[in-house]
Amino acid sequence: MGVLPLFPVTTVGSWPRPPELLRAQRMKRLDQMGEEEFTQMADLAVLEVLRLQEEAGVDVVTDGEQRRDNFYSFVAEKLDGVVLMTLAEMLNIVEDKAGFERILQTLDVPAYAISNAVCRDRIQRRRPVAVDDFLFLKRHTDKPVKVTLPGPYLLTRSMYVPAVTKEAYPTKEDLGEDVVRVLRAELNDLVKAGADFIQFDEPVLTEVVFAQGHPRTFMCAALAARGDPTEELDFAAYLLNKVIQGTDSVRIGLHICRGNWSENEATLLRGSYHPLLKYLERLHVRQLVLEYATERAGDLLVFGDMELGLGVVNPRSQTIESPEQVKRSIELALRLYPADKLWLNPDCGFGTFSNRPVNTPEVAFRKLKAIAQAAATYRG
Amino acid sequence: MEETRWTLRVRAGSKGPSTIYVRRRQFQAGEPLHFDPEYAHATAVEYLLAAIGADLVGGLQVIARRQSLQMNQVEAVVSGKLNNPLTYLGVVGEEGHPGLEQVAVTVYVSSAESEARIRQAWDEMLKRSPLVNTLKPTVRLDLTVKLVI
Repeated sequence: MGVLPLFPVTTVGSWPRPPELLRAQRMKRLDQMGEEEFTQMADLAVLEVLRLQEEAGVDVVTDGEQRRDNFYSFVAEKLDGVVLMTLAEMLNIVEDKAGFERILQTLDVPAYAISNAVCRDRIQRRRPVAVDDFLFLKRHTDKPVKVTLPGPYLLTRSMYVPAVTKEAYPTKEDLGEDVVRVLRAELNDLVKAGADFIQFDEPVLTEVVFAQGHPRTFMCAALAARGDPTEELDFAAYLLNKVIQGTDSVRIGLHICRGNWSENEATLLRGSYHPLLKYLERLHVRQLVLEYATERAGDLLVFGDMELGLGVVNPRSQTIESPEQVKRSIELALRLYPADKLWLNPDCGFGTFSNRPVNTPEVAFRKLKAIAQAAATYRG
Repeated sequence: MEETRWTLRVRAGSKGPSTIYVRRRQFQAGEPLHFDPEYAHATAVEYLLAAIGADLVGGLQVIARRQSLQMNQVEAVVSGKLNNPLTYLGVVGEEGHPGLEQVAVTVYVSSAESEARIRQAWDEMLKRSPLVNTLKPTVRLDLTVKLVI
């Protein structure tokens, strides 16, 4: 990656898909549209997301995850041994049906609209998970590119559904080892292809810490039984460090949020990152991409000498934060972080689940522009 | 037209659920109402709500077939509110009645058809729905259809 300006502006990954792409996703799922035709439509959507980011003043761009159904289930198309099941298909096998029902009602979506990747055989990479998408974006921009990948703990937790997975992997720890192998191969290929920034998404970590004794929050985490929080966090740190071991030549980030599925802030998890601190400090990532735009995230913390991707706008609200508001967040962060360790981003993606984006492209664009305008005031 | 009646038989279990015999099938139903989420059987009130949901999603598919509309997925969420559930328990001093006061149903449809055609089919189905037409005079029905790709 070349020299970046002060306070580089980026996104967390996802962007609302246009209606025609959603229809194409549905047709592809139903085998009514071939891979080539879908790719052509997705390419156009990616280029539009790229155009909007460049126009808004984003410094490190993503492809808006336009080809993905959601931030983790898309791996079903890329891996042998993994199938995509809609939540409607899974209702028979999940334990906590009432908890599931509560989440679906809050989301106001049918169970058929959300899919989960489920492991039912030994997993193997059938094709690259993200390399091709990266190369497409790189061909169309001079800007550095961020690639998002589901984290190994998220994948292990969400893909391990005992009723379906146990025969291939007796425990989720067994599956975790193969998830590491697959993600490590992908990471190496992305590094070879020239990716500038690779971000792993591990939203379930906050669920482990904050949701004990409370209703389950993340769809993916609702599937597998929760273990002891300390053991789970140890397991998560072990998996991620094993994936990224020895890849120092590329910037690796970790994104953790508290849920991005409802505009109603009261239904989302709350609490400081403090309980995660000792685990996060053990990770060999260069940057933590964290939500700090709402008071739900608690006090700003320092995590060793890691960079902070500071969440400065709420992706779920209709109100556009002003550049002055963003600057206030930057000023607060500068009390704890040197300027060259701070990046700016929204708290999370704008379209985590393709069927249930949390905002419109217009609002998302204006929010990014506000961040870029704030950053520009610090640059010479 | 010769009068058609639908008949089934319900036998109370000695301690457990009732068994319903209908045509060549049978199924079980629990108490009229239960407040324990762990209660092992679907209650009579839940069966009624289920019947309303089945009436709407099944009825919509029948109309769709007649009108050659392609619907890939149809799914309903049904919720019901009793006027005062405590009267069912016989709590002294409680007023009102234990009957359903409001039923809300959202039917989600996944289809490549236009929203206008889906809504037309929905309106047609509501006109023909046996349960909607039975309950409409006495229960507030909030019925919604949403096209979710």
